[in-house]
Amino acid sequence: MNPRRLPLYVTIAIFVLAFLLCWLQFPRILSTRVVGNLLTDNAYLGIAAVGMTVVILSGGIDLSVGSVIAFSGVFIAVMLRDSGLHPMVVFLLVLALTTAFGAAQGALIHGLAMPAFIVTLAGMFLARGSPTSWPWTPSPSTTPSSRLSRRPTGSCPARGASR
Amino acid sequence: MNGFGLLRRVAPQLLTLAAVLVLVTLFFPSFPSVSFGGDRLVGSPIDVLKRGAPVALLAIGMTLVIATRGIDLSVGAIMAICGAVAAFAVTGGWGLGVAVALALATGLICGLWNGFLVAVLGIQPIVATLILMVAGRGIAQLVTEGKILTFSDAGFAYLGSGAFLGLPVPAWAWILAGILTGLVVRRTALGLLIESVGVNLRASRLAGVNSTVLLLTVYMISGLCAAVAGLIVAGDIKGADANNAGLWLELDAILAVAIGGTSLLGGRFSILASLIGAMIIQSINTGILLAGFPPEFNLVIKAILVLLILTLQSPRLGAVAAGLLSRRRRADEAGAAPRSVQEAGQ
Repeated sequence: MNPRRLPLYVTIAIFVLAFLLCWLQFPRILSTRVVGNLLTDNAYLGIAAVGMTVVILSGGIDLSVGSVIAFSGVFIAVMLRDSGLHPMVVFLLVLALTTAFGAAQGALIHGLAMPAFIVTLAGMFLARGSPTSWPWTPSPSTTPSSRLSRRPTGSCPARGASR
Repeated sequence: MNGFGLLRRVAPQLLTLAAVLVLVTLFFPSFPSVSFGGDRLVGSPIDVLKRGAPVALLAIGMTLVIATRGIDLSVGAIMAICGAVAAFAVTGGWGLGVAVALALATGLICGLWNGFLVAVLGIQPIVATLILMVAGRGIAQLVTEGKILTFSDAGFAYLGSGAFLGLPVPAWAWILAGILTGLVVRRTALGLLIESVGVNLRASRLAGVNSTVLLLTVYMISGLCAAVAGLIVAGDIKGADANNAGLWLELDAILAVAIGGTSLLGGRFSILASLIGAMIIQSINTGILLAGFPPEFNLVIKAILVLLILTLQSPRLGAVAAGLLSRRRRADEAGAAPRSVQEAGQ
């Protein structure tokens, strides 16, 4: 057993243990539906963790991911509602935009030798604040609550957007 | 550090603060006016001193923690816990003295927990303090039993909204805490030892510095500062809100330390500069509100101002700008030389 892999084994053991504890309380947690839901509901977390791994490997940290998740959600919704573009085009747009956002943060961190923690903190404010300041976004207070609570068809957990 | 050296250390922060204040005054001309109303001074600058108290208090502890190459993400949660404990004690009829003592002791224990994880178990500070950051609000909710615990104790409310000698009590709290901590770390060898641990933990340990006790101490100071901030926030609203007291304030405190010019990689620190950094952040917050921008622009403006300040303070930017300037001066000299020859010829 490679001792350098020990943290990985410990992590897996904790996961299995936690799952077992849940199973003792709620036996249905082993059903494919719940397992599938767990995978679906935490997809955004897993995807963000992949990116975060690369960032932390290089000695930095990215605090802005949560806000960027929220930003891209609002951006896609507003674009689909107002622009009439094909969803795939909007997806490409949002990917390009958020990648450019990350690149700009990286440029500041590398070019000006600023701490990653602080740069991505400012990025977090920016990404969290920018969707609400778009002139064409209805402000939350004027949106009828029925529109907010209406769920889109299909499973679309929006937990990344909420805190 | 003598007076002149200290002034030169905090000059960038003072200039930034002045620039922010001038900017706010441009948008809101009556910003600098202070008058005497009843038992205290009133006006926007006093408001900045009062509203900035929690972040300024947190920044004192955070400066010391960051100087040891650590970071304390749990201060916001500690504020919530201590506010909840104090409110619980006051509503239980135990008296104000017991409530404050319990809250401060809770802050010290929280700091001790963080310090234990970092100094004894050797966990990375960002992960070690993340534990209490996540768990802390749950603990605070256990104390308040999920409610917002309100109280009507006049003495406790005085901590958050009273005035002493014309200044609000919260302003006194951070000013006195800053002076006290500054004297303790700068008039003794403590500050030097903290810096040495931050620069090179192993070397200072080999040189005989008891780094374990030192690390425990700085995290406990951070917890104590957070406890005072939590008391102020709870006293201000006469209630303990486990969910929102001190929410995201750890980020503002770290921002204050960074604006204060203390490197997040540890080493040399300045508490005065961090406190000025906290006042810069509060001036931005108050200024945005006073200037009458739509509230949805707050975060964007704050982000842009913070980025601007940090870019201007970046040492690399100074080097880049100096390089550009010297190149231009060389070009100017090269262009000016023939002209002077011409003038001499005439």
